[in-house]
Parts: sequence; structure tokens; C-alpha cells
Amino acid sequence: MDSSELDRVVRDAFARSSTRADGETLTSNATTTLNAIRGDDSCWKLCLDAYVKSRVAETKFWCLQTLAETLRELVARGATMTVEDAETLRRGIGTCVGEASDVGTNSPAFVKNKLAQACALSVALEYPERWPTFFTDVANLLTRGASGVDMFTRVLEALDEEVIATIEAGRSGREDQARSMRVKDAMRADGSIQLVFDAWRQCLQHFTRAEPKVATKVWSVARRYVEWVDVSVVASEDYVRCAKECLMLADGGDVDEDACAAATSYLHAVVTKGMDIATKVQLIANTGLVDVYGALQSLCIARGDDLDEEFVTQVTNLGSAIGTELLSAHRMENVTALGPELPARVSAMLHQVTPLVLSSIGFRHERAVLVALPFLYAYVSHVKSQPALLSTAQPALEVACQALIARGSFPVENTDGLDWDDGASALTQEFEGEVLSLRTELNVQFKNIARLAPQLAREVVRQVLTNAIVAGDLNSRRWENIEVAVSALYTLGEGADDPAVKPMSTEERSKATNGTGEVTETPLGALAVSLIRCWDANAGKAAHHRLVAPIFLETCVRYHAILEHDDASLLVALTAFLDARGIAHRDRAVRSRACYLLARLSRPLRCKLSDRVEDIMRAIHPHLIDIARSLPEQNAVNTTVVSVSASGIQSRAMAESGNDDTLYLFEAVGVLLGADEVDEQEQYRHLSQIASALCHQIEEVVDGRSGADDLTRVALATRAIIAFGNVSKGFAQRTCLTARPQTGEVFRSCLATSLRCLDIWPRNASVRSRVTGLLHRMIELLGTTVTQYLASTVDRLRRDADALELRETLVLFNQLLATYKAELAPFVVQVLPNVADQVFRTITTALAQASEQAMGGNVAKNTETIRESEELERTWLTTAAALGANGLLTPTFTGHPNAEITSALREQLITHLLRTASSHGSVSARKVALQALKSFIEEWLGDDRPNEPTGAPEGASKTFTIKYGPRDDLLPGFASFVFDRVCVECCVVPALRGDLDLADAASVAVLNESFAILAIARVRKPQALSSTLHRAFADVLADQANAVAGEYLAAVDAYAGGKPHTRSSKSLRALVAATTEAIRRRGRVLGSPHIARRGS
Amino acid sequence: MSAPPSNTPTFKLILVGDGGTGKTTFVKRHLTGEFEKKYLPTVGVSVHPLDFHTNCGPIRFDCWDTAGQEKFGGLRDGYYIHGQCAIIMFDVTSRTTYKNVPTWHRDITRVCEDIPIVLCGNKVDVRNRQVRAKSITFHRKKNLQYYELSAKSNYNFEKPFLYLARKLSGNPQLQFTESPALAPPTVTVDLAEVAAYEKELADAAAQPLPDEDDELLDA
Repeated sequence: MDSSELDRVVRDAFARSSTRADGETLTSNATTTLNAIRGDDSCWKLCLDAYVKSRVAETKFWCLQTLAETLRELVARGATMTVEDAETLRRGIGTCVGEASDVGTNSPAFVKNKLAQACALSVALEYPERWPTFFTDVANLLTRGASGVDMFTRVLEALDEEVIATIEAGRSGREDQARSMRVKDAMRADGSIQLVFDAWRQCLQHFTRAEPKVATKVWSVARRYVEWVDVSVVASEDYVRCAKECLMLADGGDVDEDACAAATSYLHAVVTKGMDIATKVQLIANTGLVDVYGALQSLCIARGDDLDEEFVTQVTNLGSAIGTELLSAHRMENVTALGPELPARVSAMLHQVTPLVLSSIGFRHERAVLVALPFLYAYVSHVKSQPALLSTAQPALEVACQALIARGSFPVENTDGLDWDDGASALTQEFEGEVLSLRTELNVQFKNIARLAPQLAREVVRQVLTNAIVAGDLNSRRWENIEVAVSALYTLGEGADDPAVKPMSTEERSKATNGTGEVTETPLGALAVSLIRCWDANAGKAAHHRLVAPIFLETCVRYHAILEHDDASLLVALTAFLDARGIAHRDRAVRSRACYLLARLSRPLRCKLSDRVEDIMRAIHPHLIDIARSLPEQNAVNTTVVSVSASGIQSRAMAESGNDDTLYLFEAVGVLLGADEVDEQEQYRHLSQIASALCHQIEEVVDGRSGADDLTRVALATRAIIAFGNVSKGFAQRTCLTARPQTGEVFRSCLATSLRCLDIWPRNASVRSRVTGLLHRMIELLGTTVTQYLASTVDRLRRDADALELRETLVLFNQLLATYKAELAPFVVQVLPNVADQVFRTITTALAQASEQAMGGNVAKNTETIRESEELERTWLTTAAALGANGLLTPTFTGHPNAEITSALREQLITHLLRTASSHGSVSARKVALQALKSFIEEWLGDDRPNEPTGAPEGASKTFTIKYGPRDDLLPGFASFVFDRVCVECCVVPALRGDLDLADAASVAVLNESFAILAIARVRKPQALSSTLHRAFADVLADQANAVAGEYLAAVDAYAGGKPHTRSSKSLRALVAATTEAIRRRGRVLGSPHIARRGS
Repeated sequence: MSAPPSNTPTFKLILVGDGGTGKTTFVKRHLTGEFEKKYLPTVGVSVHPLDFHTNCGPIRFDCWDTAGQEKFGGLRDGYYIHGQCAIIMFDVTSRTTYKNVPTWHRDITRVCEDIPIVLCGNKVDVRNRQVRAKSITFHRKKNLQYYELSAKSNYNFEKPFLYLARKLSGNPQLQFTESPALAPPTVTVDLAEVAAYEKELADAAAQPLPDEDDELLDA
């Protein structure tokens, strides 16, 4: 194929936007042709030739790609070229590189980079043995000026990416490491690395001012080599001088920010390079890096907002690294290694660097702020490790606290088009998200300092609060300052060791408050009280701001212990919750949050608030009706700007599924009304009112009386169901069933009404999940009084259900098993066969689909279908285990007529458990299957022991706890099934076959379950297990079989005799290892392992 | 491929990542509004034009959805030529897909120098998460934007496109003014879990970057 023909084929293969009807065929044919060329072993020679002849960049790229892939394959195989081919490669590469470095060629970057990649792979293949002059050859490019330097740096960059870098480039194999080491050693030994760094130094000296872009590239590539090249090279006087010149600190000239950022980044690499601590300190001191950083930081402070983010970030990064290294040197264990003089220098330099790095927290550029934080973290840890330093560190910590709080504030400056009052605007949401996200990161540090120096942090917060809401007149107070101050107090309370926020028992609280119990007088409590009490008077209209109102409510919830002990504060807080600063706020998001927070607050204060229920209900009641009937906002598409923030989409998704935080108001009401202290009649009256309104809402939409469309009807119904569920969370089963049964009646009628929705919309996901959720809750609340609804509901849910829906149905089923236990047997017999049949069909279909979709013989394991089917199977196994754990196996599968009804199910179930326990790919699935099998065996395997427990079997201790089984097997042939199939295939073989990784705890748990089954079998039928094991080992161990079987029996006896908490898996693992080794020595195998992994 | 309306700025977007991470499903959310449960590996590349409406006018991303599996490679990194922006996708339920992110990043930057790149962790709706939020640090090293996605629930679907549109237009205030036609979410992302991940990410950001060895062992 000649050059122009290749150009055409490559062009066709790359074409994707052709409007020609035959476009796809052309592309496909061209790709086939190119693949055919690649199929030839010597195609790379053709490519080298075509590269030079073609003028088309895509063709050149394809030629180099083909060459690079050929070289990569040779390198990976450890193969070598013939002498002639190697010579051809050297010449060809030389020609290509020469051509690409020509000023006139103007090759695009992607071609040059591909060429550089091919050069790097040539190094891996040929250097140093057959191409010892590689680096001298490429260094000759420098004589070609900037374009030569450009190609030179690209080659060195590619060399690092393709050969030298290993783990960080995704190459962690032994061969990769060895290859990298070989090249690095050779470069050191033959002086190539010195040659490269000398060349770069010359480039920097020549181009720093003339062509800063070239210098930028040189610095960034040289940085890659710092880690492994000798410090005398990378931090030589010449290099440090070059860096200082690049930074233009001496002459105060205008800096090229990209070049400066790259040079600073190089210095950062030097500072963080691995070396002993004394050498590091000397390096920092001798090179004057602290002064260099100081000058750069001063520049950033002076012109911070005008400078490029990358530059400011790199400067802070350098400071942070110097500071962290000095902190490391300052550690007790390192100080002695520094000798007599250096510690003082370290202290001095640290003293100089610390405030500079902390000043970066105030920078406008967020990345710069973020890179300063790791230093602060290290600084705080350092002070923590040496408490004596705390007093000298106080000023720095105080500055850091102030800076962290201030930087987390909403900006006071105006931004075009941004209105902080408009929470519905996407722009506002986005800016808000950015401020809060940065604040979250700053708060991590703030809390860290607060843990180290609580008093200091508290005083800073007190000062910030005073400045924001006490100082100055009411009109001059800005909401931004108030918001950040209150937020600081809120953050301070998180995890603080103070009775005002820490959950404590009465005794602990009394002890912590010197016997008074007055949390309002603890340091943090007093601060919170001072804020809450003055809130109405001092916050002014800022208290209504959509960003201030919620943080005040959040703070009230966090410091709720205060409200419990201070009536004045409680009144202020309650008023804020119930008026236009809370659940009646004009901003929907604030209202939602207030509803949620009121639910949170109500729980701990329910007793305290019980005598105010009437007042609270009067304020809340109108909102309840509104909330239950308010549908998700449909106007998102019509607004001028669409919300694209995570929270925007998230709340839309939540709203579409019929839920939002305003419905928490129902939970708050439930919690308040559900308190025992509330009068019974008052409770019943309020509850009936709410229930009646919600039932009416459901009936209206179910009967189609509302005239609304289907979507609206579903939304209204689901909101009402969620509201019921939320109200019920405040009530206890005791209240509903015994103390105040008429309350239970209200909930039962609500459930009956809600279940009607499932008749109307059986396949609607939202209705299904909400009704199921309510049923779960009502089972907890109303116990056996709801069993009448179960069979029809489960049947409705499972009909036509997909894997996901079926799994949810099983979760409900499992809850029923756990709640009602053996009482549920008639229901299980009625419902389970159909459910099981559907489960097995769904799993089988999913696997069949996945196999059909598999291409190239690979079944993709991370697809949705497979995942759903695996989750369904896991839940089904849990169901099987739950049948056993709740005593339902015998009533379900034995006796007339249940045995006949469920016989097919029994076979299906046991076969599946057997297969899962013996060969499933997930250890957790195996464990659950073994537990289920164990339950069958415990209930059905006949017991040969005498009726009276006269003692343990031979070899077992007298403490065994295995319960007595029936006199005979409950199912004919069950014993032989247990010994031949379960004991051998599930309990003994998998571990010996290598299925389990016995270094992993999950696999050890499987081994333990296996031995638990063997123990039951051993205790009930000692002789049968003995014969089974002898038979099982006879084939693979011949004359050693008896001895090994004996060891197994001894281990099983010990297991059976041991108390559960004293059983050790160590001996079991040792036994398995020894037996596996014995089998291996005899050259026998127990079949191919079916590897079982955690989480797969 | 349909021709863009006249004067619509059009950008070539490269979508890369290991096989099965959800690249095709992700772009198809926009096109067909279907969550694709079936897994059909992409062969070579398929190009999808994705239109967005912004307050600065319409914008089109010609999204080059590349093969994640090497054996279906076609022209491989040749498809990246003239790419103007990129999305690297991994699957938070598969550690290997995150381990391979550096390789994808290197391959892209070698062909397309200095283009805006977004790293996306997909499938955050799945409970069995294998790549912990705190071990996701690659974007910090390379100064990329990172988003967690759930193609299944539409969570953060528009975020990568908005970021890229802003970078390419040089206008940080650019906004989308109409929602693209997305299918309704088939699952809802657990807010509490998302909040926990975000907190973990924030905590992680405050820590020094791990050594390469530590990180990979961790991931």
C-alpha cells in the first residue's frame, strides 16, 4: 500500500461525522484494512517508512501508534529484535525525531507525543545494551533551539510515563519494577542522568526569560525525575539558582506565572524528596528555601486576587511542604538525629514559616486554601504529641481558628446576578454549595483545633459571636457575619466534651457539672444560652434570612439539653421553630429543614413539651394539611435557570418519589402526641383529626373523586401514606395495644385505607415502596392484629414483580417471619411456594440473559441485571435461614397436608442451598446457606443419643450444647443426604479444594459453620460421621485416610464440646492446611476449586 | 449524526473508562431517556451529539463514547485526536476501574494537551460500594474536577457537562436553562449516604495526599 492509499484508509477510519449514507461501511472497511496491516509482524517497518512520506497528521499518528504497540508487545514478552531490525528501528526513530524537531515541520502535539512514546518504548527495549547512546542522541536535539528542546522534554516525559514510573502509572508488576530499575541504574551508571540534568539546566539558563513556555515545560518534566535522582544533582547550586532566577525574586521583575508555578512545583518535589532528616533540614537551610517561599508568599498576599490560581496554589503547596518537613524534624524522636546546632535553626525556620502558611487560609483561590490545610493538620498533631508546646502554639492556633471561621463565611462582595435571598435560583444554589463545601473542609480543621484547645476555640467563637450579634447597632449587623458565627458555635458543639451537647446519663451529667446538673452553666452551655436568649432582640431581620434561620434552628437542636433546663431559651427556640423563621418561612427549603429539625428536637424534649401540646398543635395544624396536599414543584422546566446542583436534582428525585422533608412535621407531631404524659383524650382527639384528614385524602384519590390525573393521585396518596408512617413513629406498641387501644384502632384503619392504593396501582414503584414501608411499621406497632392483611398484600406485591420488587417483597416476608415466628406457618405454606418459584425463575432468567449478552466469552459481572439477581439470591438465602431460625421448617414442610403442598418447594430449596454452600462464588452466600442447612439438620436429623443427657460422646467435653433432635429422621433418607451430600460436599471438600481463603475472616466464618454442622452430625450419629469421613478420605489419601479422618473427628468433637465463645478457628485452619498438603503430596486433587470471595 | 443548528458551538468530548463502568448508559440517558440494563460492550467508538441549552445559547457536545475493553479497541487513542474535553469514568463498585484511571488520564493528555477533564465515579446508587470516597484522590493530584454520578438515578447527570461548558466557554457563570430530556430516575440516591460520602471526601481532602503505594493498596 503506498502512502496516499494509507492516508485515504486512515482518513476513512477516523471519519465519524460523515453525512454520507455509506459512511459507516467506509469506516468499518477502513478499520478492517488497518487491522489487517497490523496483523503483519513487520508492519512497524512499513509504518516508519510511511511516517516520513505522509504529510497527514492522522496517518503519522497511526504509524507511530502501530510502532508503539509493536514495541510494547516486545517489551512485555521480554523478546528482542534481530540486530538488523534494531538498527532499522534506531535509524527510523532518529529520522522521525529529527523530522518532528524541525522548526518548519510544525507537527501537532499529539504526533510528537506519540513519537516520544515510541522513543520511550525503544529505551525499554534497547537501552543500554544496544542503544547506549540514546540520551546523547536525543540531547543533540537541543542544538535545534526551542523546537529541539520541546521534543527532548517530550521524550523524557514519555520515558517517565512509560518506563520509569511504576505504581503511580498503573504498572505494579515485578517485570515493570525491574525494567524501571534497570533503566534508572543504567542512566546513573553511564552518566546519562547527569547529561539530562545538565541539558535542562542549560535550557533553563537560556530560555527562562526568552521563552518562558519552554522553561515551564522543562521544570515540569524535571520535577518527575527529582524523586529518584541524587540530591546533589536535583538540588545543586546551579538548579536552585535557576529556580530563583525563574522566580525573578532578585530583580523584582514581572513574573511569568506558569513558569514560576512550575519552578515552585519543582522546589516542592525537592523538599518532599526522601532523605534523612538532617540532610533535609540542611538542604532547606542551605538553599534558603524559607526565604524564597517567604518572598513568594508575600507576593501572593500583596497581589493574591490578581495572580493565577495555579501559581498561588503551588506557592502555598511549597510552604506547606517546608512547614511539614520542619515539623517532622522538630519531633522528639527526630531532634536527636539533627545534632547540636540544627534544632535551633529548625525552630527558627518553623517560627518563620508557620504564620505564612496559615495566612494562605485567607486566600481567595480555593485550591490554595485547601493545600494549606494538611500543614495545619500536621501542626495540630505535632502540638498534640508534645503538650508542652501548647502554650507557645496558642497564638498560631488562635489565628488559624479565626482564619478558618472567616474563610468559611458567605462572601460580602456582590456577584453579578447573584441574590442570596433567592434560594430557588440555580446560581445561588451553586454558590451556596461551594461555600458550604469549603466550609465543611475548614470545619474539619476547626474541630481538630477545638479538640486540642477547647478553651481557645470557644473564646474565638465567643469573640466572633460578640462581633456579629452584640457589637454595633442592630442595623449595621450583617447576616453573613451572624450566619458564620452561629455556624461556628454549631460546629464547636459537634463531638465536644461538654454536658450541653454530649449525650450523658443523669449521673454522668451531674458529675460533669459538679453536682448541679445545670448544663446552662457549663462553658459551652453558657455560650449557647447567651446566644439563644438574645436571639430575638439582637439578630433583627437577619434572623429571617434563608441562610441564617436554619443554622439557628440547627444550633437549637444540637444544644437541646440547654432548652430542657432553661425555659426562657426554650420559649425563644420554640417560637423560632413555629413562626416565619421556621415552619412558616417563605422559603420552601427553610420550611422543610425546620420541619425535619422540629422532629429531631421533639424527641428528646417530648416530656418537657407535653404540657404545651395544645399550643404547639394550634400552630402546626394548618401547616399539616398544606404539607400533605402540596405536590412536588413542577415548574423546574419553566424557570429561566434550571437547578443543576446535586441538591436540586436530589430534591427533585425525592419529590418525584413522593417524599420531602416537610413531611417530618408529621413525625414531630407523632412524637409530641405519643408521649405518655399527654392526656389520653387529647391525644386521641388530635390523632383522629390528622388520621381522618389523611384517610380522606387517600379515599378521594383512590375513588377517583378528585378528578386529578393519575400522577397527581399517586403523589397525593403516597404523601398521605408517608405522613401516616411518620406520625406512627412517635407511638409505642404498648400504647397502641394495651395502654390506649383506641389509638391502635386509628392506625389500623389508616393501614386498611392505605392498602387500597395497592389494589389501584399495584405496579407503581412509589406506591409499592410506601405501602410496604407502612406495613413494616404497622407490624412493629400493632403486632398480630395486622396478620389479616398479610397474605393478600404479599401476593399483590409479588405478582409480576421484577428482581428488585421481588427482593423488596422478600424483605417484608423476612420481617414477618422474624416477628410472628411459628404462628406464621399457615401463611408461609400458602404464600411461599409461589414466591420461591418466582424467585428461582427470575434468577435463572437473569443469568441466561447475561450469558446471551456476554461477548468474547466474558460475562460482565458488574451489570445491573446480574447485581439485582445476586441481591435477590442473597435475600432469598436469608429467607431460607430465617425459616430455620424462626422455627418454621417443621410446620411448613412436614405433616399433613403441608408436606404435600410444599414438597416441590422443599426439594427446590434444599437443592439450591446445597449448591450454594458447596460452590457459590460469594463467601457470605455460602455462610448463609450453611446456616440454613444447619437449621434443617437441627430440626430433622434423628438423634441416636439416649433420651437423658448422660454425657458427651467419646472425646467431647461435658459442656456441649447441641440440642436434642427427633428420635428418627423427620424425612425418610434425610440422614444419608446429610452425611453424603452436606457433610462431604459442603463442609469438608470446599476448604480442602481451595475454595476458601482462610486468611480472610469471612472465609473462616464459613469454615466455622461447616464444623458446626459436622458437630451436630457427630453428636447425633457418631458412627455415621466417622464412616462418612473415612470413605471421603479413602480415595485421596489411601493408607493415610484413617489417620486424617481421626484428626477430623477429634477436631469435630472438640468443636462440639467447646463453648461457643472459646472456640478457636486456629486449629481448624491448621487441620485444613495439613490435610490439603497431604492430598497435594500424593498428587491427588478434590476437583477444581470454586473460589469464593468476599463481596463477590 | 444530525447536523447541529447553525452557529451552535460544538465540542468534541472524549468519554473513556474501563469496560462496564456505564459510559454508554450515561450518554444514553440524555439521548433516549432509557436506563440500559443490558450490557453491550461498545465496539471501537460511537459518537452521540448531546445538546444543552444555556443562558449563553445552545451548546453541543459530540460525545465520543469509546470502547472500554481493549479487545474492542478500534483506533484506541486515535479517537482522542482533536478532543476538546474529556470525561474519565470509573465504577465505584469496582476497584480495578479506579486503579486504571491514571492510565486513561495519561492516554488522553498525551493526545489532547491542556483540555478540561472531569473524573466521574459512577453507580453511587449501589449499596455495595467498593471504592471508598476517601481513597479517591487522583483528581486532586491532577487538578481535575470530580463528580459522583448515578446514571440510574440521574444524580449529578448534568454536572460534568456544565463544568466542561464553563471551561470551554471561559464563562464561569454559564448556566443550563433547560433540562435535557432525562428519564425519570429508577432509584433514589440515599441522601444520608451521599452526605456521608461528601463528608468523607471533605475529611479526605484535609489529609495529606497518600503515597502512591498506599493509595493503590487502599483502593
